[in-house]
Amino acid sequence: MKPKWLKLAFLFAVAFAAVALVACGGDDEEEPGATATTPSEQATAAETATETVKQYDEGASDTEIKIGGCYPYSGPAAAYGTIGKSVEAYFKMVNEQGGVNGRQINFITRDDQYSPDKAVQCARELVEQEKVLFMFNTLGTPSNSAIWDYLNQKGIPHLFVSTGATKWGEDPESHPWTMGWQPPYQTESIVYSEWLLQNKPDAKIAVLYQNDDYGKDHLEGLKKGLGDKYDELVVAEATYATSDASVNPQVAQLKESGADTFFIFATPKFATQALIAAAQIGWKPLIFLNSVSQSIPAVIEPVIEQAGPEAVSNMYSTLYIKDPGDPQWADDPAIKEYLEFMEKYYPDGNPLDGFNIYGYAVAQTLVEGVLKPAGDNLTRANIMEKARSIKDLRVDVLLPGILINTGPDDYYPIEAEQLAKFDPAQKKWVLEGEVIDVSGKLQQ
Amino acid sequence: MDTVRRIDWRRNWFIFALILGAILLPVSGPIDRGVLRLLRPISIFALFFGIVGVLTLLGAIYLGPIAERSRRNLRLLQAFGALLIFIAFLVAPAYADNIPYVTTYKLTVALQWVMVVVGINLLTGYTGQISLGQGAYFAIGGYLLAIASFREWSLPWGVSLILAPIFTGILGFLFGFPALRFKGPYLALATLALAVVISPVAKRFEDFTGGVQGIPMYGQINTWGIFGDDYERFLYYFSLVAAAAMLLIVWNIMHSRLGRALIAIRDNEVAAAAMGVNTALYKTTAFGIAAAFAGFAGAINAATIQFVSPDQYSVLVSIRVFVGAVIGGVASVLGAVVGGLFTQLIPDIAAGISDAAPDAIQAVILVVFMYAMRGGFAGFVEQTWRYGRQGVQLLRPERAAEEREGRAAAPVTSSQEQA
Repeated sequence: MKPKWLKLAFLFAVAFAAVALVACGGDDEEEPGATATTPSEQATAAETATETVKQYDEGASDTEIKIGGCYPYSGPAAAYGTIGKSVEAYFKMVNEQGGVNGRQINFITRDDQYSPDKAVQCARELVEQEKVLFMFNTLGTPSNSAIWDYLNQKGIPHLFVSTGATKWGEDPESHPWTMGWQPPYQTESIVYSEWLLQNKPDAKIAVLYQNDDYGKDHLEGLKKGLGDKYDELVVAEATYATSDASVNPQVAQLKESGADTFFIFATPKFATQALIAAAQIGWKPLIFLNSVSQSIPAVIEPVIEQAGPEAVSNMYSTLYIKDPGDPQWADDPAIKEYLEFMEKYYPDGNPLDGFNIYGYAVAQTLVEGVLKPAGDNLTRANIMEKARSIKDLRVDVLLPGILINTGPDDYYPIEAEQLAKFDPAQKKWVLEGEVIDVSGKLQQ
Repeated sequence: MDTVRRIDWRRNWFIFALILGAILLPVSGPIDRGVLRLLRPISIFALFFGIVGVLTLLGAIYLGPIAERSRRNLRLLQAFGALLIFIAFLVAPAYADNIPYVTTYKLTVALQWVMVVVGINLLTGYTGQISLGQGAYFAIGGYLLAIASFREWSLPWGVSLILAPIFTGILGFLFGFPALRFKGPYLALATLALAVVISPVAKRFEDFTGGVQGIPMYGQINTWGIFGDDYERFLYYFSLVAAAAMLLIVWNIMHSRLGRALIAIRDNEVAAAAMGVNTALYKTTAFGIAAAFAGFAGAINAATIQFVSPDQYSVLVSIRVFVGAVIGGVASVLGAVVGGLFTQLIPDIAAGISDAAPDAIQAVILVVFMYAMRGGFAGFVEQTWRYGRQGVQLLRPERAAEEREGRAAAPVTSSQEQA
């Protein structure tokens, strides 16, 4: 019986040691900077010191700036993952050219599979373990919704998120650390309505929208854009759910209303269905196709195949970035530079993929608009302060005439877009008219 | 050459994996070009399984005789092993952050996967009922906590945490009745439907679930003063204790009347019924228990993530958890632990190896696992143990069969049941 007692004693000793270890390990993991203050409060404190003095928060030093990002490299939305790689390639180029004010950018990304719970894991790992200075360009509305409370309470800048939802800039007071970048859905709708009010003020409008936040965001923009005339002009609305098999009944119902203008706020699959359905029932309205579904191979080519080129002959969408495949920009220095960049720093990527030029543009905005002006004062408060005070920044792969502006109450960097009409003969979007700037209209 | 051909690769692969890994690892360090970049992760994997295999062999050779002496010794040894694993988890917060791909936070989530996987083990491994729908109960648990405590009725979240497994348990029990009509692949499909439907349903009832925007609960969950305000540590130990309790429950079920009845159903349902086992009742009970475990895990997971939304409960959750269960070893408590860790860590590791095609890397890992270890990780450990007890044979000996017969007089009871 003796060995049994020995074993038991040994077990107790081990267990005791373990508990002691846990207890000791507990004290050294205090989170610095966990108190949440608004960036402006911190900024005023920082401004009292002169900007020439080097100031750093976690993640910044004399030699390095650590930035974090979460992208869906795997899973159902893996096609977006290339944005992360293009951003990374841009930083690589910046680093080879000497970095930002002598500091190298260290861009750490994680795969979040486009799943909110993984995004939370990603953000927490980057903030708490990798100790990044700030989070940049995290992709997806659900993913960003999952982490923005966390980042705002911790006071970590959450810059230029890669989603079109309007909510990122809607309420800078409750979420002062989060900022979008691309024109939000509402801005796009306002651009359409501005154009419509000028060019076809007596339109009879039918709207098809997805019955969730994305579709309702678009509709809200249309309401803001048309203002008082909304009730007069919009004669029919129809919704669909992503679980619907087809939108044919909705399109038929919209046609019955006698509308001559058709807004499609739908994701590619349903936009394709709607365009085909309209052509098949002999409805030939003026069509506004939201930019989410403007992809030519994914949406428009299938429509032409099944319903002929007439189905897309009177159709508009919006653009804000130059299309690198468009011959009109063949001699454009910005596009040339972009194509050289792709060849040298991201040779595996497809330079004609709109996601890659998107990544290039957003990374350039960060470097030129935020990091360079921040100088040696690389505190989180100052990063946010600089992001909030971008004045007329020109990112040269954006369409001519689009300038980036932000302010203490303006958390929407890009608020201008240009209409483009689809040309079935050349199979491309042709820019139409001027850039329509709708700055400030969102806050109404 | 004849010697090479006579080596028993099938049973000795881990020894060669160990050697290969040890040679490749130092060589592969500086290589950073194209496909050769994969050498390093491959060598690490090889080394890992080599070490596990060899340690199991050593264990079999030196501890085996002690275990075989009496049933009590065996139990003591098993308890000791379980305690070692428990202690490794107990002190994990002190060292976890230094291991690549691991953080305390991720371990917390991994423990929650362990809870789901142990339910699958009970249901699939011991009762023979395949369920691809555990993600649905996981989601219901999460939503129940979020809605009851943070959106509609502001119940204390501890109450929701208790309600979640009760509710999903009843749901699982009820689902078990129609499921009685299905067997094998048909049952798998019926349960898969459950997993597919949960996310659209959550989007549909927007008033209750918050739609795609989900329900945020950040910073609203208190820890009842345990561990001060260290929410992280509190959740980790809470998950650890809960997971350990569930493993213990399943362990006890398996060594009780209910467990023997379940195994009888798995092995031969007709025979079990003929022996007087109420197969319908036992099968639905197994469904109910597994669903309750998944529901509890979902609730505690929602409290950890502090956010629920339809997108995080896609059908992939159910499939990943099931894959984790199979990889770990489907009828074993050790397998559940490995399966939970696998579910949590492998996607990150795959993305770390190559962010160009993480899905492909994951698939390759899965295929290699299934090829090298038919019974999952636990099955591998058990086979190697038995192999060690029979005497390691590097070459295919003609007289191995006779030798085995000689030993058959003293049958080997091992630490894990085999599926």
